[in-house]
Amino acid sequence: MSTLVTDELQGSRESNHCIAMPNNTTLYAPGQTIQTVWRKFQTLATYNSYNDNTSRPIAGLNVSITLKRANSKVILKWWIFYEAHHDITFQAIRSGTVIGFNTDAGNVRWSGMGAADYEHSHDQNSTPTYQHHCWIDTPGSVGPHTYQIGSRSSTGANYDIRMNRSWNGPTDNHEVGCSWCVVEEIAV
Amino acid sequence: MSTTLRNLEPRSGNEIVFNAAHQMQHQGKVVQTITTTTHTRTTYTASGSGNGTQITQLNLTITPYRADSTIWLRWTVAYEAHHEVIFLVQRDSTLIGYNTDLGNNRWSGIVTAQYDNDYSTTPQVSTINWFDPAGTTAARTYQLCVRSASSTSYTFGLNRSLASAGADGQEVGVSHGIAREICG
Repeated sequence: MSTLVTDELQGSRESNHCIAMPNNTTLYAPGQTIQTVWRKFQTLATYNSYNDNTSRPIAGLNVSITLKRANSKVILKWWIFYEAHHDITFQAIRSGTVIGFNTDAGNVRWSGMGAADYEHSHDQNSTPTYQHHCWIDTPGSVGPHTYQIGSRSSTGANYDIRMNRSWNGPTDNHEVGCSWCVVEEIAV
Repeated sequence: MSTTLRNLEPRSGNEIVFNAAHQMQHQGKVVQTITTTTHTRTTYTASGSGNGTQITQLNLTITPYRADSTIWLRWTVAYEAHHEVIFLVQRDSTLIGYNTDLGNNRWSGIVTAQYDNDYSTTPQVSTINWFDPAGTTAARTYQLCVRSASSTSYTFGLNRSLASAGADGQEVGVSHGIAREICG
């Protein structure tokens, strides 16, 4: 094992002051992002949000990541464009296990990272919404881990969520958009 | 010149300082960040035709270090607009940011304004993301744009309500743009 002890790092003049790490190698420093994985989802798709306490993944936003280190922290961010009934909650899922919900309330259908937007006049026709959800996970192993965002009904009724589109349309006044998932591994 | 190492340690204390004028290219890491902030309170017209109206105060110009990098664009915008206004992204005035599955229709974008049914005194904040493969190391400017999703043109108020540029009950805000190069 070789150790370089120094106060300062500089790129060489020959390399135009650039230090290049070879691909697939990692420099670990606590607090730094050591990899970023992202996925865009723009298919106009409908997913079920049912009343049976089961959080059903919005599969178009699945992201798999193999961590560099087992003790890393994982920051999950979703930006979702959708239209749905407001009695829907969203959960984070890791490899089939629901991990992202309000643990004080427990894993019940009205418990999530957040709820669908309640739009003016309870519009469920032509006006999608755009929401940001976040979860922080420490899985404890390198994986690979598949992260998902799921949804379920918070009442006895069954609903659907229409992704990347308005409930009706698309046409004039019925907008479509794009959704994203970003996963960052943070060194501890 | 190459040095093969297992560990890097500070000679003393707990810091190793990297020369700020130099680069470290490291796959998967953010290797440069460009930001812009605007306090300008102004209005634009979001038309239902064309590829969107550029919000020029939020332009982001970046020169990637590597062609295989990804540029992560994120704008956080304070504004007021009709809920049928959508956001788009252009690169050097070419439309790139919309739902390409659907195609370049006027109702195809990244994000719509929220539906609060108040088009006078209540601004809102939206965050718009886009990821663009760098492709080359040429400098480029990313432009956030607005377009109407119908045949009606709407006014877009940046950092202000539609009623005024600031008054009691008519809030003003600040908008930001961030471009981060994730090293390929």
